[in-house]
Parts: sequence; C-alpha cells; structure tokens
Amino acid sequence: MAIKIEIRFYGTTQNPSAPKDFAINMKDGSSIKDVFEQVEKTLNLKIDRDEVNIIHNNNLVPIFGLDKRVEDDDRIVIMPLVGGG
Amino acid sequence: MTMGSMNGKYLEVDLTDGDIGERSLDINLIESYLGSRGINAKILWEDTDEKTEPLSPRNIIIISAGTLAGTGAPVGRLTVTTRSPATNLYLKNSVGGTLGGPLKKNGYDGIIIKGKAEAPSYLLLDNGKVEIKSADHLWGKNVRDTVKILKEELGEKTEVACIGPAGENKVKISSIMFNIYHAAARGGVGAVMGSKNLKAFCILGGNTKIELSDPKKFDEVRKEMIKRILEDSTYESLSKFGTPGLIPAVNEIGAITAYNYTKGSFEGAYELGGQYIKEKYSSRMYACERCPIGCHLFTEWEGGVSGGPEYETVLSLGIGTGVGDTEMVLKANELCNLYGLDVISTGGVIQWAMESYGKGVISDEDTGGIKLNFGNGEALIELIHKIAHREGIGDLLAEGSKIASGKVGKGSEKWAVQAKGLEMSRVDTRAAKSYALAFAVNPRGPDHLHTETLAEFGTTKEMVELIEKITGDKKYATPYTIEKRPEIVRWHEDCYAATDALGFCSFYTTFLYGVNPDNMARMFQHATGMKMDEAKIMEAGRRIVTLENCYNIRLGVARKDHRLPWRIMHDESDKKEASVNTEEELNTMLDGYFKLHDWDVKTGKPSVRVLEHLGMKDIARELAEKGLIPEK
Repeated sequence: MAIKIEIRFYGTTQNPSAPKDFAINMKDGSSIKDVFEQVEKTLNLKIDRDEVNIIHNNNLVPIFGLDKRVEDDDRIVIMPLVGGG
Repeated sequence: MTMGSMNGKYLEVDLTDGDIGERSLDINLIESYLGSRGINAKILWEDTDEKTEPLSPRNIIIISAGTLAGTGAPVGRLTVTTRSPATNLYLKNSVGGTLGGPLKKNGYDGIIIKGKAEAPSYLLLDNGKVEIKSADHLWGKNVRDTVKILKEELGEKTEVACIGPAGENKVKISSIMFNIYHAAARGGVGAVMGSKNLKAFCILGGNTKIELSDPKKFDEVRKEMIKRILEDSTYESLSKFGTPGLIPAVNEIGAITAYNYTKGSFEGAYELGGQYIKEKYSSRMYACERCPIGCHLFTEWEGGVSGGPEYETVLSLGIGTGVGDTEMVLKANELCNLYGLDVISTGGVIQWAMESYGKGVISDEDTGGIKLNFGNGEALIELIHKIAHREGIGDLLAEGSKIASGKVGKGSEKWAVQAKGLEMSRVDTRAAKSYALAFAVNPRGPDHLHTETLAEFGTTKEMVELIEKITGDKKYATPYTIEKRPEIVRWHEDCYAATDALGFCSFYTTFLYGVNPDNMARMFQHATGMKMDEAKIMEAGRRIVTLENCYNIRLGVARKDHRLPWRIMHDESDKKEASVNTEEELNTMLDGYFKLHDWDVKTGKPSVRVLEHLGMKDIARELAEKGLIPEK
C-alpha cells in the first residue's frame, strides 16, 4: 500500500532556496531515511544529511532519528542546517 | 607572580567628584572568578548593597574585557555589570565588538564607573591617560551621530560605546551601544549610564603589551580551537545567513512566538529569515574582534542601512508584533540601534500594548490615536519613537512590560511576557524544556544569554555528543522531556560563565561547539600562567553563577521568584507536543536543579556549607548573618 508524504524543500546550506512544496508516494512502513533518499531521487540531487535540518511533522529530527516510521499524510521539511539566535 | 594576559587592575572613575583611580586585582580573585563576568560580579557584590537604587549615583557600572582579550585569540566579548532598573536585580550583559583589545592595551582589564556627573560627560581613555570631558554637544544625539562626532574629534580609530536618547531619558529598556551595532542590551543598562549623565566612553590607542605565559602552547590551542569552529556543522550557515537563518526552521517546528507568543507559525516568516534577507538586503557580513565566523548581517534598503537584524530582533519587532514587511522590520531594528533600545524588550512591550489594545484594555485615547493593531508597521515605528522620548503612551511603555501592565491592570499582566521584570527572549520554552528551566533560574530574567541549551535539539553530531557527555545517553537529546534537564542546564550555566569570563562568544561553546571547557582551561593557563583544568574551570563557572544568585538572594530573591511568564505557564501553544510549561513540570525541574547543586530545595538557596565548599566564605558569612541562607 502506498502512503503520501508532503515535502517542503528549502534547498541546502550551499544552495538555499525559497520553499518548494510537493508530494511523494512511499511504501507503507517507510522511514524518514527512505523519504530522504526518495527526495534526493525526485530532485536529482545528492544531499549531505549532516548538512541539512529535517523536520518531521513539526519536530526537528535528531541526527540519530532517521529510522522513525512515517505515516500517510505526514510532512517532511528539509532545509539548510542552521545555528541560532 | 605575573598575571600573563591580565593587567591585574580595573580603572575606577567617580563621576561625582572626578576622582580617577585604580583597583588592583588579587591573583586569588582571578583564579577563583577567571576574569570579566566573574570579577565584575564580585565587585558589584562588594560595592553595592540592598539600599543601592539602580538609577541613583550609588549604583555602579562595570565594563570589562575577557581574560584573553588582546591576545590574538578570537575574543571579542566584554561584560557590562550593574544593578538593573528593570528587574531591580543583578544584571550582566555580554556584548561583542572591538573594544576589548584596546581596553587591555590601555593597561586595564575593566572600568568601574561610580557616582553621577554634574553635567553631560564622556570618559576618554587615551593611551593610558584618563579624562572626563564635557558631552554637552552630544546630549540628545542618536548613537550614529554620537559615534560620528566623537570619531571626528578624536580620530577614526576611536572605539566608542555610548547611549542614545533612550538611555538619556532613563528608559528602562535602554541599551549601551558599542560602535553603533553591538548592544549591551538588556535590563535597562543604558538608563543606568544616563542616570550618571554619562553619554559615552571612548578608548584610543594603548601601548601595553599583552603578555602570554606560554605563547607557543597558547597558539597551539588557539589554532586547534579555530579549526574546530570552522569544522562545526553549523559554521557555514551561521557565517552565511547570520542568526536569522534559524527563522524558517523555527517557523516550521511551530515555535516562532508570533503575535505575542500566541501562534507557533507565521505566514511570511521566510521573507524575514536570514536566507531571504541575505539575498535581498545584505551584501556583507561583519564580525567581532578576530572572530572567524562573522555572523552579523549588514543590511541596506531604500532609505536606510543597519547592522543586523538578529534572530531575536526579527521575532521581537516583526513576527511577534505581526509585522511581516521586511523593510519595516529592518527600519524598526535601525531605530532601536540609533535610540539605544533593547530590541527584545522593545518588541515585547509593544506586543503587550498591541494585545491590550485589541482587547480594549488600552484605548485610542491612551495611544493618542495610534491604531495599535497587530501587524501595523507604522504603529510599531511610531511607538519606538515615543518610547525613546517617553512621549505619550511611550512614557508608560518605557517602564517595561511588568511595570506597564501593573499600572494598566485589567488582567493585562497575563499577556506581559516577562518574569523577574525582564521581557522573555524569543525561545518558546513550551517546546524546549531545558530552556524553560534555564530561563526560570536565570538571575537576570528569562533570557538566552546566560544559558543556551540548544544542544537538547540534537540536530548536529556535536550537539548529540555533548548531550551524551552530560547525561550519559544520547536519547536525552530531545527538547520534549524534562528528564536530565537539571544536568543539561547546570553544564551550560557553568560553561557559559567561563565563556563570558574569558571573553569568548557563546557561539563558540554552546552554539557551535568548537571551544570546550578543556580548550578554555588550557588557554587560560597558557595565557595567565595559573594552573587550570577542565574540572577547575567548570567549578569557577559554578562559583560565578552562584555569586550572581547570592547577589539576588541578598535582595530577597528565593525559589518563588524562579518563574516563567504567566502566558508560558498557562496559555497553550498551538504546538501539540509542548502545550504549556506547567507548574508541576517547572517544580519537578526546579527540585532536580536545586538537589543537583546541593541547595535547599524548599527555598532555592545555597547553604553556608555549600558556599564555603566553593571558597565563598565571605559571601556565606554575610548572607548567614542576615539570616538569608541556612547553615547546612
């Protein structure tokens, strides 16, 4: 069964961009890591995981949290890795 | 014994009678309190007391450079310490810029300013020579004009720190501006300077050679540290987009504190973020003394130029007020810089006024006809002018949110987002539990520049490594649990205090992680010749934080005062994972925090025994004699 994941992509630290929204279909049981790899394929872009922030349903994903399973209609945001204020 | 990079003395100026002298620093004092922030706190403890009114001549301002300033290390921070007119409590500000090295090269580690000048004055430190000069021609001038005039008179290389009209008018949310764009911002420190009729202090030249105890080893650690900073995961983004680079991410996690902390996201946040501002409005970044990051955006737009904005500026003056027009926010930032206003508190008190107006608590008559709706950029600008000059409603807002809401009443205290009298920094602590505890126990009020616990988010390998080091398990790298928060806060408090004392930027230690306590200890030792290691430097950090708390305890502060703003503890955020910081949650974290420090859990105070263990016998004795702390 396929599930739909909403994606927002702000580019990377090297190439930031205005947010682009799109959706991808994934197999049920997919993880954040699977989604990340699918986004790379969709955008035809190699993204260094250590150089972006990933947000899953409004929560920052810790660097060790990529195995978490995604659900239908979840939202993943990929954006430049940022410091703070 | 020599003191290496320390001159071993502070300049002491009494503006009332014009006396100029020096205060020697004992070696034991430097070993115990490391420098700058720590020594300032000790001087404030000794030279002021419960009867010292913040805006009276009896209050003092202490400005000092870090222990490592002027050594060639990237050390650009100074500490400004006083008793705050906004909170009536201990106040320290850490400020960047380029004054630290020149101050040290003039032969002093710091300046103690006392009394009150009879007429507007400024202080000039020129190649070791000190003069108090008339500032009649500067009074009433904004910060940029003041700096320009002083540089024309004294030379382009003059380093200038000054107040603007807000400080002159004793606005309780006013700042001291260092070379226009670096602010000792919080707690009304500008008003203290204004109350002394002191417009500026200027530093020129300086021939004192800054000695190093072991230059070769010092340089090795310096190089190692810079390499680590440059290799840190977030170095590139911070140096490219500045602190506003964080804005789109914070918006996406629903913690952007829009509309006076009532909304977690804001439409148009991207256009207020660092990536967008950099592309549209900023052609260059600028840095503090020898900093390899250079995180400050310099912005230009039609009709203006400014340093900044910073993350806190955009959230305080823009997103928090509902103003999404980028240029309006840049302009508001510039006005605060020129008037010498704290952007966080100015934005905070304006948001309180906007919400009060929307709820009918403040009327058109009160505002003088200004339509104070959220999102009204013209009203934002108008209010900044009025606050700086204490005109109309600006006179009320110039007192800060606590006093203003107390005067207006009608329940408006509940949306005055302050604690201890200080407007809260723009971190939504409802979604970040370490920050919640850190803000509650901060001696100067709920603010990030005392303890920055960003590592709890665990979004870089450096952050996760640090959380694992502190707690023993990387699973605690999440902002949504209250477990292990006391341990995380304590480590950051101690590290931050040492960071400030040495003069490093906290971005090196608790934002990026290029400098750690071990690096700091070795640099301190090779600079001063005093033996230091990681445990000892963290204990010194603990001593500094403890002394700052003792200052407040002497003023009557106890556990009951370690609170978060009412809204943060009662009004739900629209972020479901972190709705409010409940009473129970805060109490549990406070219990853990005081137990960890071996302080009395009920009162939130250290005992004589704990203070003596830290080598603070004199402070313990005074507090015990006054019946303010327990014996054991």
